[in-house]
Amino acid sequence: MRAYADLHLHASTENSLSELLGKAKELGYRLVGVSIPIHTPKEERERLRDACKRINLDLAFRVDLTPKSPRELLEALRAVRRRFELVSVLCLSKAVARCAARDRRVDLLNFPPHPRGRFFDRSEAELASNSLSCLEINMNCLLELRGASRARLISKLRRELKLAGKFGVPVVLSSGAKHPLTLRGPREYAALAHTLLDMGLEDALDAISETPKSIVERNREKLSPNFVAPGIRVVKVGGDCRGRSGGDT
Amino acid sequence: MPREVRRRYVALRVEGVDTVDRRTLEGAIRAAILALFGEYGLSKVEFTVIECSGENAIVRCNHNALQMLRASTATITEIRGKPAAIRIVKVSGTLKALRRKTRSLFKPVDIVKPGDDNAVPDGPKREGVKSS
Repeated sequence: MRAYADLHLHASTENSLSELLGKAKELGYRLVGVSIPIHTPKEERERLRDACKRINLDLAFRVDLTPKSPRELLEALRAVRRRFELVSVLCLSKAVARCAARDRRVDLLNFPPHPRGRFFDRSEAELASNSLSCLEINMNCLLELRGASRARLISKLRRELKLAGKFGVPVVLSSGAKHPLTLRGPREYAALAHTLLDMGLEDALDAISETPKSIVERNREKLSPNFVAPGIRVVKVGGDCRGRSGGDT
Repeated sequence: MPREVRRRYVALRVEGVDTVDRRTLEGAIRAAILALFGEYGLSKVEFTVIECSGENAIVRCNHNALQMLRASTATITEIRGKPAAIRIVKVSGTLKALRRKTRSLFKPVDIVKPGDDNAVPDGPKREGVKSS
């Protein structure tokens, strides 16, 4: 059975956040990414984590960066990368989009909902394919827009997904929900991506289960104190290490 | 011998409004399908609201168009001008199996026959299907 994940929930108040987390659990999500401000106190984070643990929901903290220039992005990344499990960049200009796609510290590339603000083109896809960043699609935009603007967005997203597939850029489907009534089940998002964005149903389900899960796991490993480099971690520290492995005592 | 038309029975729950009648639900789903897939899509989905009780409902659709129905119901954000959401609770190939799976959710079940707006208080009396 798939473990579904929604990496983009954000609420304005604590009450609405707890409602949102409860609804996410009810709809079958096992992992959620909650967007919080950069300077959220540690006690607040622990309280949220405990609340999620009580309802058996895995919580990952996420930060949404909206830099105006590449320099601002690099400074922000230096400040937040070791403090958050997920780093998302809302690319408001082409220069920021290019810089974010190139940087290995960025997990999710996010674009504004209006089609003219989306900079995921061929070069962007090529840069993203060489780093670790994924293309994030906020499904809430498809629910909020109506008529011609939704049609334009669907057409743009379809093109982006085709490019992402061509260059092997992983795609993540997220809700971007702010209220329980705007949150939908994982199969509904997969159905939207399958029918409107021409994604294969299995690919769409992976984009809301396996891909987000692998991003969080990779980052948790990196944030753990035992991490040395990709593929290398400290297994044991102490005097008895030599005696067990070497046999030369 | 394989059946010509295969159906899927979908149990839905409407959130955000206390009760929803068959006509309103049918109208909301039809409008969503028309907005996303047009008249051609609506003809492919071939959906009918079979039951509607309180906030729960059972909808039948063509099995090839299940994903279209899922996508369309997901885009419904308001009913009668109020913010609302339609959740798909369960999907099954037969009405009998769906009732068995959602027994706890649909109690008591009020049947609304197609074309009839008045709910019959007792359980379903359909041919070949035992009431659960």
